[in-house]
Amino acid sequence: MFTLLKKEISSFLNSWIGYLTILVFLLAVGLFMWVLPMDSNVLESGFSSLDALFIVAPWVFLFLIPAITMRSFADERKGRTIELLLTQPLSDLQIILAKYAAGLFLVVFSLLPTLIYYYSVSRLGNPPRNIDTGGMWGSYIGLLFLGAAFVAIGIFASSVTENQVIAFILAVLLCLFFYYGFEFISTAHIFGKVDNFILALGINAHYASMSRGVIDTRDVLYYLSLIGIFILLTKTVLESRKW
Amino acid sequence: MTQKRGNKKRDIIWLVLSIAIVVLCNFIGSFVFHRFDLTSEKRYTLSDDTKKMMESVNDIVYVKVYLDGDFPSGFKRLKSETKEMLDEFRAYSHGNVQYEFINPSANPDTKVRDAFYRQLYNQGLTPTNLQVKDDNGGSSEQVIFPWAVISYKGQSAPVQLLQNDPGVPPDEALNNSVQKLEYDFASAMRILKNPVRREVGFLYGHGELDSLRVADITNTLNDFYVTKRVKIEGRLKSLQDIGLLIIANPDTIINEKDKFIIDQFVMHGGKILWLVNSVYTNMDSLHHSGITMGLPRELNLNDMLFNYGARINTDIVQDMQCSMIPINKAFRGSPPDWQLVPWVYTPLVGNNPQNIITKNLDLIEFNFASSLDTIGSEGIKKTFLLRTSKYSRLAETPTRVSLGIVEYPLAMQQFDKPFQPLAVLLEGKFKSLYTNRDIPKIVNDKEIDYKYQSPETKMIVIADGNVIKNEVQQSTGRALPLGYDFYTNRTYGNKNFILNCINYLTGDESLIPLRGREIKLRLLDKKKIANERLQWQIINTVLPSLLIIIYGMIQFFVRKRKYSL
Repeated sequence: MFTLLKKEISSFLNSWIGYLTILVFLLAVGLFMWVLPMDSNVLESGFSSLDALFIVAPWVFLFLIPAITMRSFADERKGRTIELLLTQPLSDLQIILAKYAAGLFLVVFSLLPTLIYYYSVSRLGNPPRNIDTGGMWGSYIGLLFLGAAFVAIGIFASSVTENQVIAFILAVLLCLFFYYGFEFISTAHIFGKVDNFILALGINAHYASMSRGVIDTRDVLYYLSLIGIFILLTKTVLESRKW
Repeated sequence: MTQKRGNKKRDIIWLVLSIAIVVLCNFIGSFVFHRFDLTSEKRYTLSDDTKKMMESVNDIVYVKVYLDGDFPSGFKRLKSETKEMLDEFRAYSHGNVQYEFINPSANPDTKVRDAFYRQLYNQGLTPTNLQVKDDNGGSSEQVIFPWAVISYKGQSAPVQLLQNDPGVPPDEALNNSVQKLEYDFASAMRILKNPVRREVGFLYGHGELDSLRVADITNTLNDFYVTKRVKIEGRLKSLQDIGLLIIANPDTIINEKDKFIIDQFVMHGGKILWLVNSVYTNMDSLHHSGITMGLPRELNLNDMLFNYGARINTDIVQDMQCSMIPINKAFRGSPPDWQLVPWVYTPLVGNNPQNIITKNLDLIEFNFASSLDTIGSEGIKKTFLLRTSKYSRLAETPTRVSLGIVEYPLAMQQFDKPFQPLAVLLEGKFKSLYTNRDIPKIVNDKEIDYKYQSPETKMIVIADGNVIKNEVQQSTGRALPLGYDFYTNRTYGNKNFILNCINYLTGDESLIPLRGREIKLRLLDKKKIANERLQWQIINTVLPSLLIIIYGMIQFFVRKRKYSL
């Protein structure tokens, strides 16, 4: 299983596409946070915090993560290597988990350079180092959980088709729906009392709480459930070849 | 074929079952949960009292927040912190808290907009004018309503989100506002949940501070209590409806009959906040001639306070830790040159972190205070709330008070009476002052309902009547916030201290810890940003990408090496 994980990671990092995806992510976040004269601009807000990163990053993740995961199963299907993979002495679940872990690793990998922002903000603080470090780590944990959920969705989307482009689009739509769709529905106030429940089905309600540095066991449970369900769905899709 | 169909059935059952288990887990988890607040000030951790209060909410709490729209980043922060605080309230209320952000300026039609403004204004929501800089370097004015309205079970209460104290820079004012959010919402919720309000009476008729001089504290108290001014004038029933009596700086003798009624008020469980000056100083004389005398003031209260367990000495406290007054330092004949100098008669008293009333308070400004002692009254628990600094001294009356002290300040060694108590809390069962002077007629009088001893009750004695007094703006005649000192342009902790005392005496202690909450203001160095803007922009946009590219190249060469053999 670890060999597979290693292979997945290196195949991504050895391709130009992989680096390009991460570069796009870093450039987009960097521009939104430091250059473009928008609300998310740290220098213009004047506050010593990385809040902007945790507002901008989910939107960029929305495209970045499907790009990372689109290949995972779709590509194997197209190249017929999936048959090969499935006959390995590995259970379906292990294969999925290996691909999932590889995707997660890449998310962490692309987030690592953003620690430079932390350095910058803490240097620019008045007085220097005037930043809520504990809260920031909490926010990073929140962002990682969000990324983890997107990866699970992306892997699932990739498992239902053999076309990478379709996998990408499907993943973006599903992520968007889970991230913001439920919230959007609940603000329409058409379901009355169930509004709050619908809101809680979406990722944003849980992410908002975590991204300010509060780790609630209910939010963690939500993320784990969401990830679990999508991995299960992926497994069911793979199993369906035997149907 | 049947084998295949069997697989399908098995897989789908498996899937449905798993999802059901996951849903069940989440359902259980929504009752058994824990929150870890990683922020350094635990700023999203509600106090236990607030959590309990929100858990006991059994109907929808609807919050309308009028702070929405396009405004400067500081206000956006206030908006998002408000939202987060409401989310926090919701987390404990079993989903009963619902909120909505409304932009009062959303309507492009000025007529409709103005009508909406007026409607809000009539609800008591006063707008704030903002100067907004636009892109062209000019500035325009924007009206915002930093208010929320909470509705619960058909009642509603306004919550002011912006703490607007004069002399506080905008950044700090916004941060103060963020700090107070929980307190603001929690206290409003408390009023809605428990609409029975108790009465707080300000005594008058003995030269006490007039209503303008206690206007700021009265306004604040009106949110929680019904305040009124009461005059005894020998009427037995005059204090009947009041739970807490505030005696703020009387300056004439309180006659025996009024004293008897106050005594019986305590014997029936009434609480008193005493703010009493035992020394008389003529401030006008000090202003005009630079000199005055501190003389003992006769209020006829000594035996009464003594009987309850406290004595206010007839001395004046001087403290090196003090606020400032302006003094004209110019030579005679030349234009005035006002300079702020330390004035030892206005001690700034630090807090006692051991006590709930004074914990987390800012410095409190006194003005011509006297020292306090406690007397061994049996069964009364005495707690000193405030003490002067290590560098204080006492001047026995009669004493000369002169502005000249500024020219020739006393040496530090002369401040040899450290830690003089200035406020004391007395708790227990008090004995009537009239116990040993009973007149049979009074004791047996049904209408008087005479009592020798009080139930468990409490009082606070502060040896300075000015602690509760707000300044009044000369030009407009309006009351300034309590604790605001216009010479130093600072707001001291007097208001919170008095509110804490009152909350403690009335048993609303749960509000006290919320008031003392502090959130650090974290700002960026504006000068540094202006100077080094480009440098940091480059570092943060180029460096991360560069790191990745370098990593990729290393990876590439390692691979090339590995496979080229």
